[in-house]
Parts: sequence; C-alpha cells; structure tokens
Amino acid sequence: MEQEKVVDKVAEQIEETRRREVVLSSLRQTVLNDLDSTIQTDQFLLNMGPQHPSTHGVLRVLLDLDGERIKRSIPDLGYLHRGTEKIAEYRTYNQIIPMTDRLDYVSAMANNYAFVRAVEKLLEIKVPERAEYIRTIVAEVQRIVNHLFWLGTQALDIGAMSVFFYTFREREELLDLFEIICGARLTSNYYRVGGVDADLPKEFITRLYKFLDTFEKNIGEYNTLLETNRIWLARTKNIAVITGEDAINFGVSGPSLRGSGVDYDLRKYEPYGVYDQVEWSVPVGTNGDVYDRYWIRIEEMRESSKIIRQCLDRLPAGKILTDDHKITFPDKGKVMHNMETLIHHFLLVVQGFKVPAGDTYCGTETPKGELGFYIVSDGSGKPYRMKIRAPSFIHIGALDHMAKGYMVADIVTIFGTLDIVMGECDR
Amino acid sequence: MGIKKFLNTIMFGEIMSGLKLTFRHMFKKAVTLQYPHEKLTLPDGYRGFIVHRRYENEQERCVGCDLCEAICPAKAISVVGDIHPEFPERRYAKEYTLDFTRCIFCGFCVVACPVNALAMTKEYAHSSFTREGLIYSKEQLLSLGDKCEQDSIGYLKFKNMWEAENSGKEEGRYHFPPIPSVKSGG
Ligand code: SF4
Ligand code: SF4
Repeated sequence: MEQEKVVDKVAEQIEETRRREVVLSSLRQTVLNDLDSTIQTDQFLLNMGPQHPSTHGVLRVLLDLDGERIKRSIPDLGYLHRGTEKIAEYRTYNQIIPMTDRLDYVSAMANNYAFVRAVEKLLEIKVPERAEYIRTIVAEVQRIVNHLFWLGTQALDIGAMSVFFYTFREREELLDLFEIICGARLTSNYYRVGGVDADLPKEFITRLYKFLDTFEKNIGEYNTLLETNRIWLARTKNIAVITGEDAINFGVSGPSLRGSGVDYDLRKYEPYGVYDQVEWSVPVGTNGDVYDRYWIRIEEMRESSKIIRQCLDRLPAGKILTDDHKITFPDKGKVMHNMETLIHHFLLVVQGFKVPAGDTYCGTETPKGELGFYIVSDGSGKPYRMKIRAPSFIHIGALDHMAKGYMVADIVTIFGTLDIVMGECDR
Repeated sequence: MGIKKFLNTIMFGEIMSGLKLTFRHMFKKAVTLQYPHEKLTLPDGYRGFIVHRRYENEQERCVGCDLCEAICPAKAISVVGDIHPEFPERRYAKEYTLDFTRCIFCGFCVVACPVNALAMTKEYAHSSFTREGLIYSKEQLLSLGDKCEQDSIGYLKFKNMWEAENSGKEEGRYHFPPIPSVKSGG
C-alpha cells in the first residue's frame, strides 16, 4: 500500500516535469527567435587594459565595437587610487608637497606649483621676486619636459619610433637640470610655500641657455619626421574631433581645449608668477583634431622656451624664500645657536604652520590643463579637506564622446592626444 | 609647384627626408651610458640614501629628539629616545629605524634635524632580497655614513646647512659634552 503511493507520487512528479519541460522549451524557442531578430553578430565588447602599453598607466577601457567602429567606450578608473586627498587631511601642508609629486608624475614641478599657490592664496602672502622668476622658469621647463614626453609616446603609439628617441634625449638633459636643483629627476619636491627650496646654481643657468640655443633645431628634427609624414597625417588629421563648445561643456582644458579653437590659458587670463611681464602668445588651433593638438604642443614648447629665455635674462637678485618665519623653516645656523629659534623650529616641524580658516580654489595651468586645488582650512596646520581638480580625470570624461565612430585602431591615438596620466586621474 | 608636389608624392619625399635625418644620426656621438661600467656624475643635491653623521670626535650626533619622525610624510622613521646610560646629561636614540621601503626620499628629515645628524648621499643602488633587508638600524646608518662622509657634507653644503654648524660660534651652540673614547655612542 505504502509502496504504491510512493510510485504514484513519483510518476506524478515525472509527468509534471515533462509538462514543465514542454512549456519551457516552447518559451526558450520564442526567446531565441526574439534574440535572432535583434542580435547583431558583428558587435562585441573588447576589454582593453588594464595592462596595455598605450594606456599610460593602469586604465581599463571597455570598448563596444560594431565591426571595427567604436560605438561606446567606457573607461574604468581607480586602479591607481592611493587616496591622496584623504591622506592629505592627516599631513601638514609641507608634508603634502612631496605627495603632489606623485599625482601627475610626468610633471611633478607643475603639481608642486599648483599646490603651493593654493596654500599661498589662503595665507595671503607675497613671494619674493626672484622666487617668482625661478618658479616660472622651472614651471616652463617642466612644460617642455611634459610635452617632449607626450610627443615621444604619442608618436611611439602611432608607430613612429625615432621621434621617441630624439625627444627623450632632450628630456634627459632637462631632467638632469632638475636633478641639480632639487636632487631628483621626477619626484622633485622643489616648490615651498613662500618660495622655492634651492637657488639656481650657475651650472643650471649656463646649461639651460645652451639647451635653449639648440632646442629650436631639435624641434625642427621632430617636425621633419612628423609634420608632413603621410602616415602621421593619415593617423592624426580629422581624428577625435571635438568642437570648442563640446570641449567647454566637458570641462576640457589646456592644449586639448586650445586645439578646438578656444583661446583660454590661465597663464594669460589670470596671470600668476611673472607671466604678465614676459612676451609670449597662446597658440590656438582650428579643427580640434589630433593633429591640431599636436601642433599646439609643439608651438607651446617654442613659447615656453621664449618665456624661459626672457626670465633668465631678467632674473633679479634677492631672496628665494619669504622672510615670514611663521611659514618657512628658520635658518639652520640660528636653530643651532638660539633657543627661541629652536623652539620655533620644533613647533613648525611638529604642528606645521597655521593657515587661517576658510576655503579657496586655485587653478594653475599645468602642461596637461587646469590643475586646481580646493582646500578647506579650519585654522589648524593640516587641511580640513583637500580636493584636487585633476585635468586628466576631467579629460577622460570626454573620451567616449571623442572616440565615438572612429576605428578601433584610433583609440590609442585618442588616449594619447588627451595627455592622460593615471596617477593624477585616480589620485 | 604642381610638378614638385607630384614628384614629392611619388618619390616619398617627406619619408626620405626623415630617413636622411635618422641616417645622419648614426655618425653622431652616442648620448647613452653603458650603465654598470660608466656612471653618471651626480649633483651635490642628489637625494639618495639617508645616513647618520658623527661629530669629529666619532661621537654620534643624533640626540633622539623625534623631529625627523614627526616631519616624515611617509612615516618611515621611528625613534625611541632615552638618556644616555653613561652620560646622564646627554640624550641619545636608544632605537632608531629607518624603513627604506617606505621612505619617499623627500629630504624633509634632514631639514628637520636640529643637530645635522642626518644627511642624504649619492648612494642609490642598495637593494635587498627581503623587506627586512631595507629596514636600517642606527648602526647600519652610521656605518653607511662613515662610508659616504664626503657625499653627506656635499649635500649639507648644497642645502646651506654646512656653514651653520661650522660658523665657529661655540657659545650658545648645543654643544654636547664630547666623549672622546666612545665610538658608536650607543
Ligand atoms: S626622506 Fe622623507 S620619507 Fe624618507 S625618511 Fe626622510 S622624511 Fe621620511
Ligand atoms: S636624527 Fe636628528 S631629528 Fe632625528 S631623532 Fe636624531 S637628532 Fe632628532
């Protein structure tokens, strides 16, 4: 009796499963039919990066391809996140300077400059004239270094190898100069709140003059290799076009914005340093394509060398750090010989200098675009909150718009033309 | 003009001129160095490995004041200061470790040290198979400092800190009682 019941039950279950299967298979058929009518077999997702030699850091981009055309590109950020903004809340203002080196590690000096300018704006202090000149010179040297690096890698990505060797030859010379003044090639830690760390030695000035004398000829070399080269033209003309209006709406700045014909340069329109005392012009493109942005950067190198030469000619004598010893470290000699100074030195080291409560935003024209620091101070020696407006991060927002409709082989060019550095992007 | 442009196009003029440029460079002096055999001359301000320094009488300078630990942005230094066991009027660093795996070579510790006990050198090629191998104790830093004394003096001179300790003014200087016979001070 019991057994029969069980057998009945099992039979019932089998029947039930069979019935369900029929229903399911018919359902599946309809789904498949539906899919057949919508699916496009020539479309697929391509995962580019995070380990890809041309993404300039660790960037992953999901490419939605239709054949060879890019339909959508979705950047996936954060692989290089180090929490600089959060760490900064636990460091004194001086201690943050070496951390800004690591934002855009190709142009550390420019980051230092942007940061100290923001702090100086909060402190409302004036920097000695000689320091201003030195700062401008070093910032422009850094711009040349950055653009040389950019040109070399961009050409390498597109397939022109020799340019890379020639630009790096010049870059090495300039990095050696950096080594003389600050002791390191990339992690410079040179600018200080209220001035700079070290004076320019004679050797630096003579070598820089010598460099400037041959630099024009060297730019000619790069141009011989690229400017009229038909492969370069085919790979850069009318690629990644962005109109001036779109560029403004995306918040693009720097050479990428000027390539689209927008005449906007913070050095010119909100002058700092000694940019308003020297003669130079802002190169502006017309087409907003990769070639125009290349041309702009070449011209910017020329303008930078003009600025450097004028500043070197006029370099005034004087102090390189402000006298305000509430902010700068006192002289070592006094620290060793004078009790009050020693106590003051202790306080400065342990607590840092106090910054009046308030908040400020200060944007600086770095080689990549507008690097801004937004600092909220609560009156103590550490920032209450620090936000970095990194040009690379903003530029990557325009990537999808710029890449839409171009070939998959162009995506490398499009990364390159925006001049993205992931250290700054992920912070 | 038209003919010239046409010829330029079919003869690959611009590519030829590029090749000419690279060809010319074959006869120029090489700008690279064969590294382990040739080395760059480093500038005085070079920020390499950090060392501890001694006074002229071999006595170590560090007084264990903790300032380098306080200013280090990477928290690479840890100091335990104490009263010197033999000379109670003097303090010293009982334990001092510098973790070179953390150090970002910013040079702030040298600025902070009130007795010029620290300096940076032109040493850069130190490596280790273990992490512990890069955590230096005071003794290691002192012996490295003995090895690169000239480098550290050059660094301090570049940073305008050398004159400070050699200005000749003895009075008022924190002149710690000399201990002629003690080598490591600890
Ligand atoms: S160089 Fe900078 S990071 Fe290294 S131990 Fe000194 S203060 Fe710390
Ligand atoms: S090295 Fe200098 S700063 Fe550091 S504990 Fe010793 S005396 Fe103080």
